[in-house]
Order: sequence, then structure tokens, then C-alpha cells
Amino acid sequence: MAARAGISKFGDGQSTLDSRIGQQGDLIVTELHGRYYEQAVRKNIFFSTSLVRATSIGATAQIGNIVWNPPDSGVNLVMTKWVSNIVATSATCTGMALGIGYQPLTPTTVTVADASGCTYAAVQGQTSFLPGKAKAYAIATLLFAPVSVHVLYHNTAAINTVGVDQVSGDLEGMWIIPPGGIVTMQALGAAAAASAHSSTLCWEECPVL
Amino acid sequence: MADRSGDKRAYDGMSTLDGRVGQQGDKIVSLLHAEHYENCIRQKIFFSTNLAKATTVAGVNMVGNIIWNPPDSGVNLEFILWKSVIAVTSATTTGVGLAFGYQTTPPTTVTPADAFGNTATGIVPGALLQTTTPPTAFFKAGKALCYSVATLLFAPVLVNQLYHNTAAISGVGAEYIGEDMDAIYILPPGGIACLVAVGATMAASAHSSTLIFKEIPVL
Repeated sequence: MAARAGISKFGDGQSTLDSRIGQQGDLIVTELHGRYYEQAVRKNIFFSTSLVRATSIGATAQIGNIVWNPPDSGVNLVMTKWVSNIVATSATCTGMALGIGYQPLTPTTVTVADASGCTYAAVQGQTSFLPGKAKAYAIATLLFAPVSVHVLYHNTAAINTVGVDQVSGDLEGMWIIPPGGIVTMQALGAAAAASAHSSTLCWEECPVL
Repeated sequence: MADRSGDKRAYDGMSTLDGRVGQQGDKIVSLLHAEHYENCIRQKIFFSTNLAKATTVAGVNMVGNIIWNPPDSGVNLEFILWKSVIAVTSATTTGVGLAFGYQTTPPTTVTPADAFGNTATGIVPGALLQTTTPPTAFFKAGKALCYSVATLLFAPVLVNQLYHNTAAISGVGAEYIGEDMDAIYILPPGGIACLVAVGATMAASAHSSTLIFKEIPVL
């Protein structure tokens, strides 16, 4: 197999032993799909959406968006994306953070998330989303208060009354929740007001190797 | 091995000697995981988070978010993300910057960061049961040490003004303040990195921040 620099032309079905390289010997590639396609089409990407919750600071009585990876899941949760909207004035909230906790037992007094499951969405007549190994809640009582580990954004004293706010981000796999771990969206300063906070967390479930 | 242009179908378990090329000879690839997965699963990514601190200007007496790479660490720190929130009016701060310094001996008079450690291992089991254990023990430690307060040998030098904060904090809406650093800064052993105020120290409890970095062996 050889490498060749510069433009070339291939018709469909034409084969080659050459790779294309750039002017400095770099291999030239093009991505075929979106970043998460291979995992999404294999039903390994999951989401949790929690709507209009009074999201709390890290606490054992947690409200917001809570994703638990059971100790026997056999998978790591590789965090990929987050979205967060505060839609009711929450002057003392001051912001949202990603929280991480340790939860070897099933959370108690739970309310399931408004929607959760596989992002290969509602296929073939299913009425709900395919479940993953992780469990998603809007309300849960935990063994320990999750620790704020990643400051996400600042919310101010009042919400905007004109225009739009898009508050979201990529985590790009920089956080992994192992079995027995828990991840939350949680307030920084004080709980968001009643019905104030809607959020989505997305993750990839990868086997523990 | 030959590459072939155009659509093809490979069933699970099917083997092939052919890759795929585009119409201009470009190798067609797909990513299996997110950008930081490989380093994260190998436990090379670490974080430092400090909440509600009166972050200072660059000086020897630092308050804020401070990361020290010991001279004998054997790793470089590759910075990948910063996040910063000013939640209390800090009229004379004027902005937040990234500063680097030279620190050959351990900082003194230190307070550990509110949380720091590895991003892949989760909470260390049992750590939360130990009420006397500082929060820094919650996560698996790396080579770098992270502080909210530290006395340094030399004042770090501001190398990048990250953003401007105005005389009053916004009264409405949300603010997303942070950016990928994409490894443009690497901190070698014996170095120190800080988030610092640009104009003047912030108000009490004003500043929350996160720095995320990889620890890569010095080759």
C-alpha cells in the first residue's frame, strides 16, 4: 500500500492501493457520518430528559436530572452532551453544574425522568424508548450528596423576557461514570424555583473491559 | 489491502481487506467514540473545580483555581477545557485570565480545591463515609495537585485573557462562559496554572470555575 499526495478522482466501485496524503505527509480522511453515528445506530447512545423541575443543589434528596449506573450494569456511562434551560426566575440558583456521586444501592423514593432511553428513537412501533443499563430519574433519594465537579453555566437574577437562550454543551467523553456511580444536573447556589428547570443529558454505554 | 470508492455494506463479523475511499481519494472514516474517550477511559483526564471563591489577581498569594505540576511528576498537563462563572458583582475585576508560573517546591499555606481528581473513576467508594476526609479524596488523585488557596514562589504571568466581566453581573438571562482549549497550553513539570482576576480581586464568593486537563507522560 502506498500513499500519494494531491487530488485524484475515483468512480464508485473503483479500487486503489494508494492512500491520499497531504502536503506534509498527513493522511487525508473524510468522516462518513456524524460523530456519534456508529454508536447511535448500534443503540449505544442514551438520553434522560427532565422537564420543569425545581432542581436542587447536590443533596441526598435530589431533584432535577439524575442518572444512576447500577453496580452490576457491566457498562461505563461516557457523557456526551448536556442541555439546560431555566425558565422561571431563580435568583439564588446562580448556575448549574454537573454532579457526580457514589450510589451502590438503588435510589429510593424515585420519580422517573420524563423521557429516557435509547436515541435510536421509538423504532418499529415501540411506544417508548429502548431502555439502557442506566436508570434515569427526576427525583431520587441518594445515599450521599453528589459533588459538583464541572461548572456548566451562570444563571442570573431574572430570566430573559426577550429573545432566546441556548445553553448546552459537548462533554466529548471527558467524564465517565463507572458502575455504582451517579451523575446529576444540580444547582450551584440554591435550588431552582418550582418548575424552573428543564434539562437533557446524553451518554454512551460502553462495556467495562 | 486495497481501498474502494463508494457505498458498501459490511455485516457484523464479515471481514474485508478493503477500506473505503471518497471520490477524491480521501480515506473515509467514522469515529467510534467522543473526542476524549480514549484518554478518559485510560484515566488520564483530571479536573479541578472550585466554587464561590474570591479569585485574586496574579500574585504570590493566590485564591481561585490553582493547579501545580510537581517537578518529579513525570507528566505534562495538557489543558482541554475551562469554565468560569462570576455570580456576585465584581466591578473592578474586569475579566478572568489564565496565568502560568514556575513553582519548583510545593506551594505553602494551601487549601485543596473543592473537588479534584480523575474524571473516569467516579467517587472513590467509601470516601464519602469518612467525614474527616477532605473532598479532594473523593476522586482518584493524579500527579497534579489542585488548590483554591496557595502561596507561591513567584506571581504567575497572565497569558490569556479568557473573557471580560463588566461592572455589574447580568440581571437577566443565562451566561455560558467557557471554551475548549484543545491542548494549546501544556504545563510541564515544575509549572503552575491559575485562573486569575485581571483588574482586581473579585468579591467574596463570586467565582466558580472548572479546569480540565490530561496528564500525558513526558517523553
